[in-house]
Amino acid sequence: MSFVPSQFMSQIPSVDRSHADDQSFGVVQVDDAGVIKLYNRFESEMAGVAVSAAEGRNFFTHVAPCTNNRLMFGKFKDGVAKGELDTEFNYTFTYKMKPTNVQIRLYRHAPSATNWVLVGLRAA
Amino acid sequence: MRSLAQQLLEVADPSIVVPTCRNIAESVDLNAREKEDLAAEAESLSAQITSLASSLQHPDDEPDLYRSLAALWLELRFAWQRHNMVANYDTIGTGSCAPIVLARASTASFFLQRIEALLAREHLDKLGDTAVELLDSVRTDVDSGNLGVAA
Repeated sequence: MSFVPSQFMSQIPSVDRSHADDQSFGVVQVDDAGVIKLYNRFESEMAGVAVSAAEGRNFFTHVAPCTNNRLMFGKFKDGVAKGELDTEFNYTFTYKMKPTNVQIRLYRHAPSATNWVLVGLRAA
Repeated sequence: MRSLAQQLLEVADPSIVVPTCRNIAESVDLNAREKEDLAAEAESLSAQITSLASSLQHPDDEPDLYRSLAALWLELRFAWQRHNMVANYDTIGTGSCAPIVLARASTASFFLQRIEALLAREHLDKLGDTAVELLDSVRTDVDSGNLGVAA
Protein backbone atom coordinates (compact mmCIF):
# COMPACT_ATOMS: atom_id res chain seq x y z
CA MET A 1 0.00 0.00 0.00
CA SER A 2 1.37 3.41 -0.97
CA PHE A 3 2.08 6.19 1.51
CA VAL A 4 0.32 8.51 -0.94
CA PRO A 5 -3.48 8.51 -0.48
CA SER A 6 -5.29 7.35 -3.60
CA GLN A 7 -7.47 10.44 -3.34
CA PHE A 8 -4.42 12.63 -3.83
CA MET A 9 -3.27 10.56 -6.80
CA SER A 10 -6.69 10.95 -8.40
CA GLN A 11 -6.33 14.73 -8.22
CA ILE A 12 -3.15 14.80 -10.27
CA PRO A 13 -2.51 16.82 -12.44
CA SER A 14 -4.81 19.50 -11.03
CA VAL A 15 -2.89 19.81 -7.75
CA ASP A 16 -2.25 23.47 -7.05
CA ARG A 17 0.16 25.00 -4.53
CA SER A 18 -2.40 25.33 -1.80
CA HIS A 19 -3.47 21.71 -2.10
CA ALA A 20 0.14 20.53 -2.26
CA ASP A 21 1.00 22.54 0.86
CA ASP A 22 -1.82 20.83 2.75
CA GLN A 23 -0.18 17.41 2.36
CA SER A 24 1.86 15.67 5.07
CA PHE A 25 4.38 14.41 2.54
CA GLY A 26 6.64 16.01 -0.05
CA VAL A 27 5.08 16.99 -3.35
CA VAL A 28 7.43 18.00 -6.13
CA GLN A 29 6.30 18.48 -9.71
CA VAL A 30 9.09 18.45 -12.28
CA ASP A 31 9.29 18.81 -16.03
CA ASP A 32 10.74 16.10 -18.27
CA ALA A 33 14.30 17.27 -17.53
CA GLY A 34 13.75 17.33 -13.78
CA VAL A 35 13.36 21.10 -13.37
CA ILE A 36 11.07 21.88 -10.45
CA LYS A 37 7.74 23.50 -11.23
CA LEU A 38 6.09 23.05 -7.83
CA TYR A 39 7.79 22.40 -4.47
CA ASN A 40 5.50 22.07 -1.50
CA ARG A 41 5.90 23.25 2.07
CA PHE A 42 6.54 19.80 3.57
CA GLU A 43 9.41 19.11 1.18
CA SER A 44 10.83 22.58 1.75
CA GLU A 45 10.84 22.16 5.52
CA MET A 46 12.20 18.62 5.46
CA ALA A 47 15.03 19.48 3.08
CA GLY A 48 15.72 22.92 4.52
CA VAL A 49 15.47 24.43 1.03
CA ALA A 50 13.29 27.50 0.47
CA VAL A 51 10.61 27.13 -2.16
CA SER A 52 12.03 30.14 -4.00
CA ALA A 53 15.48 28.51 -4.07
CA ALA A 54 14.09 25.23 -5.40
CA GLU A 55 11.59 26.13 -8.10
CA GLY A 56 13.25 26.61 -11.47
CA ARG A 57 16.25 24.44 -10.54
CA ASN A 58 16.84 20.80 -11.36
CA PHE A 59 15.58 18.55 -8.57
CA PHE A 60 17.91 15.64 -9.25
CA THR A 61 21.17 17.44 -9.91
CA HIS A 62 20.97 20.60 -7.82
CA VAL A 63 18.24 20.60 -5.18
CA ALA A 64 18.45 16.94 -4.10
CA PRO A 65 21.85 15.77 -5.41
CA CYS A 66 21.46 12.55 -3.39
CA THR A 67 19.01 11.48 -6.10
CA ASN A 68 21.43 11.98 -8.99
CA ASN A 69 22.10 8.33 -9.71
CA ARG A 70 20.73 5.38 -11.63
CA LEU A 71 18.47 4.42 -8.71
CA MET A 72 16.41 7.56 -8.93
CA PHE A 73 17.31 9.96 -11.74
CA GLY A 74 17.92 6.95 -13.99
CA LYS A 75 14.47 5.52 -13.20
CA PHE A 76 12.95 8.92 -13.79
CA LYS A 77 14.63 9.39 -17.19
CA ASP A 78 13.67 5.87 -18.28
CA GLY A 79 10.06 6.49 -17.26
CA VAL A 80 9.87 9.80 -19.07
CA ALA A 81 11.37 8.22 -22.20
CA LYS A 82 8.80 5.40 -22.07
CA GLY A 83 5.97 7.75 -21.16
CA GLU A 84 5.16 5.52 -18.23
CA LEU A 85 6.36 5.82 -14.65
CA ASP A 86 4.87 4.71 -11.37
CA THR A 87 7.31 3.23 -8.89
CA GLU A 88 7.74 3.40 -5.15
CA PHE A 89 10.84 2.52 -3.09
CA ASN A 90 12.71 3.27 0.12
CA TYR A 91 15.49 5.85 0.10
CA THR A 92 17.67 7.79 2.53
CA PHE A 93 18.44 11.51 2.57
CA THR A 94 21.64 12.76 4.20
CA TYR A 95 22.43 15.99 2.34
CA LYS A 96 22.67 18.83 4.86
CA MET A 97 20.43 16.99 7.29
CA LYS A 98 20.53 14.18 9.81
CA PRO A 99 19.97 10.77 8.20
CA THR A 100 16.33 10.68 7.16
CA ASN A 101 14.59 7.54 5.94
CA VAL A 102 12.00 8.21 3.29
CA GLN A 103 9.75 6.52 0.78
CA ILE A 104 9.78 7.84 -2.74
CA ARG A 105 7.08 7.57 -5.37
CA LEU A 106 7.98 8.59 -8.90
CA TYR A 107 4.90 9.10 -10.99
CA ARG A 108 4.13 10.31 -14.49
CA HIS A 109 0.58 11.24 -15.34
CA ALA A 110 0.56 10.26 -19.00
CA PRO A 111 -2.50 12.18 -20.21
CA SER A 112 -1.11 15.49 -18.96
CA ALA A 113 2.57 14.52 -19.39
CA THR A 114 3.31 15.79 -15.88
CA ASN A 115 5.86 14.23 -13.54
CA TRP A 116 5.67 13.99 -9.76
CA VAL A 117 8.18 13.12 -7.06
CA LEU A 118 6.38 12.30 -3.82
CA VAL A 119 8.36 11.89 -0.61
CA GLY A 120 7.09 10.39 2.64
CA LEU A 121 8.90 9.88 5.93
CA ARG A 122 9.32 6.30 7.11
CA ALA A 123 10.52 4.73 10.33
CA ALA A 124 14.10 3.39 10.32
CA MET B 1 36.68 42.92 9.59
CA ARG B 2 37.77 39.38 10.36
CA SER B 3 40.12 37.76 7.89
CA LEU B 4 39.13 34.69 5.91
CA ALA B 5 41.57 32.64 8.01
CA GLN B 6 39.91 33.81 11.22
CA GLN B 7 36.48 32.95 9.86
CA LEU B 8 37.70 29.53 8.81
CA LEU B 9 39.03 28.88 12.31
CA GLU B 10 35.53 29.53 13.59
CA VAL B 11 34.01 27.24 10.96
CA ALA B 12 36.32 24.45 12.10
CA ASP B 13 35.98 25.15 15.83
CA PRO B 14 36.07 21.68 17.43
CA SER B 15 33.96 22.85 20.37
CA ILE B 16 31.12 23.35 17.88
CA VAL B 17 31.65 20.72 15.19
CA VAL B 18 32.50 17.72 17.34
CA PRO B 19 29.37 17.93 19.56
CA THR B 20 27.22 18.37 16.44
CA CYS B 21 28.76 15.28 14.90
CA ARG B 22 28.18 13.39 18.16
CA ASN B 23 24.58 14.50 17.87
CA ILE B 24 24.41 13.09 14.33
CA ALA B 25 25.88 9.84 15.67
CA GLU B 26 23.10 9.68 18.26
CA SER B 27 20.45 10.02 15.56
CA VAL B 28 21.26 6.59 14.12
CA ASP B 29 21.84 3.20 15.68
CA LEU B 30 25.61 3.14 16.23
CA ASN B 31 27.56 1.14 18.77
CA ALA B 32 29.90 2.91 21.21
CA ARG B 33 32.99 2.22 19.11
CA GLU B 34 31.39 3.63 15.96
CA LYS B 35 30.28 6.75 17.83
CA GLU B 36 33.83 7.35 18.99
CA ASP B 37 35.18 6.68 15.49
CA LEU B 38 32.81 9.24 14.04
CA ALA B 39 33.74 11.85 16.65
CA ALA B 40 37.44 11.16 16.02
CA GLU B 41 36.93 11.62 12.27
CA ALA B 42 35.17 14.94 12.88
CA GLU B 43 37.96 16.03 15.22
CA SER B 44 40.57 15.08 12.64
CA LEU B 45 38.83 17.00 9.86
CA SER B 46 38.44 19.99 12.16
CA ALA B 47 42.20 19.87 12.90
CA GLN B 48 43.05 19.67 9.20
CA ILE B 49 40.91 22.70 8.42
CA THR B 50 42.40 24.55 11.38
CA SER B 51 45.85 23.76 10.05
CA LEU B 52 44.89 25.16 6.63
CA ALA B 53 43.65 28.39 8.22
CA SER B 54 46.76 28.70 10.39
CA SER B 55 49.18 28.14 7.54
CA LEU B 56 47.56 30.66 5.18
CA GLN B 57 46.70 33.49 7.54
CA HIS B 58 48.65 36.37 5.97
CA PRO B 59 46.41 38.78 4.00
CA ASP B 60 48.44 37.98 0.86
CA ASP B 61 47.52 34.30 1.32
CA GLU B 62 43.77 34.88 1.02
CA PRO B 63 43.42 34.04 -2.70
CA ASP B 64 45.13 30.69 -2.12
CA LEU B 65 43.12 30.09 1.03
CA TYR B 66 39.89 30.80 -0.84
CA ARG B 67 40.99 28.46 -3.63
CA SER B 68 41.77 25.77 -1.04
CA LEU B 69 38.31 26.24 0.46
CA ALA B 70 36.75 25.68 -2.95
CA ALA B 71 38.81 22.51 -3.32
CA LEU B 72 37.78 21.41 0.17
CA TRP B 73 34.12 21.95 -0.77
CA LEU B 74 34.59 19.64 -3.75
CA GLU B 75 36.41 17.04 -1.61
CA LEU B 76 33.58 16.99 0.91
CA ARG B 77 30.93 16.98 -1.79
CA PHE B 78 32.48 13.93 -3.46
CA ALA B 79 33.01 12.19 -0.11
CA TRP B 80 29.37 12.80 0.76
CA GLN B 81 28.33 11.56 -2.68
CA ARG B 82 30.24 8.29 -2.21
CA HIS B 83 28.62 7.65 1.18
CA ASN B 84 25.23 8.51 -0.33
CA MET B 85 25.73 5.97 -3.12
CA VAL B 86 26.61 3.21 -0.65
CA ALA B 87 23.66 4.09 1.59
CA ASN B 88 21.07 4.07 -1.17
CA TYR B 89 22.36 1.15 -3.21
CA ASP B 90 22.30 -0.88 0.02
CA THR B 91 18.87 0.48 1.01
CA ILE B 92 17.36 -0.50 -2.32
CA GLY B 93 19.36 -3.71 -2.73
CA THR B 94 19.01 -5.18 0.74
CA GLY B 95 16.38 -3.06 2.48
CA SER B 96 18.80 -1.39 4.88
CA CYS B 97 22.28 0.08 5.14
CA ALA B 98 24.98 0.40 7.77
CA PRO B 99 24.09 3.33 10.07
CA ILE B 100 27.74 4.44 10.15
CA VAL B 101 27.52 5.16 6.42
CA LEU B 102 24.52 7.41 7.00
CA ALA B 103 26.28 9.18 9.86
CA ARG B 104 29.41 9.73 7.73
CA ALA B 105 27.31 11.14 4.90
CA SER B 106 25.53 13.57 7.21
CA THR B 107 28.82 14.57 8.84
CA ALA B 108 30.46 15.30 5.46
CA SER B 109 27.49 17.40 4.40
CA PHE B 110 27.51 19.22 7.76
CA PHE B 111 31.12 20.34 7.16
CA LEU B 112 30.17 21.17 3.58
CA GLN B 113 27.44 23.47 4.83
CA ARG B 114 29.81 25.25 7.23
CA ILE B 115 32.38 25.80 4.49
CA GLU B 116 29.67 27.24 2.24
CA ALA B 117 29.28 30.18 4.60
CA LEU B 118 32.70 31.40 3.40
CA LEU B 119 32.14 30.99 -0.34
CA ALA B 120 30.29 33.41 -2.61
CA ARG B 121 26.90 32.25 -3.91
CA GLU B 122 28.04 32.48 -7.53
CA HIS B 123 31.11 30.36 -6.77
CA LEU B 124 29.01 27.76 -4.96
CA ASP B 125 26.73 27.54 -7.98
CA LYS B 126 29.76 27.08 -10.23
CA LEU B 127 31.25 24.43 -7.95
CA GLY B 128 27.92 22.58 -7.81
CA ASP B 129 27.59 22.68 -11.58
CA THR B 130 31.19 21.55 -11.98
CA ALA B 131 30.72 18.62 -9.60
CA VAL B 132 27.64 17.46 -11.50
CA GLU B 133 29.06 17.99 -15.00
CA LEU B 134 32.40 16.40 -14.19
CA LEU B 135 30.84 13.17 -13.01
CA ASP B 136 28.09 13.17 -15.61
CA SER B 137 30.66 13.48 -18.39
CA VAL B 138 32.45 10.42 -17.02
CA ARG B 139 29.16 8.56 -16.73
CA THR B 140 28.27 9.45 -20.31
CA ASP B 141 31.65 8.20 -21.50
CA VAL B 142 31.27 4.95 -19.59
CA ASP B 143 27.73 4.47 -20.93
CA SER B 144 28.87 5.02 -24.50
CA GLY B 145 31.88 2.74 -24.12
CA ASN B 146 34.46 5.51 -24.45
CA LEU B 147 36.09 4.73 -21.14
CA GLY B 148 37.27 1.22 -20.45
CA VAL B 149 36.74 -0.28 -17.02
CA ALA B 150 39.92 -2.05 -15.95
CA ALA B 151 39.52 -5.81 -16.07
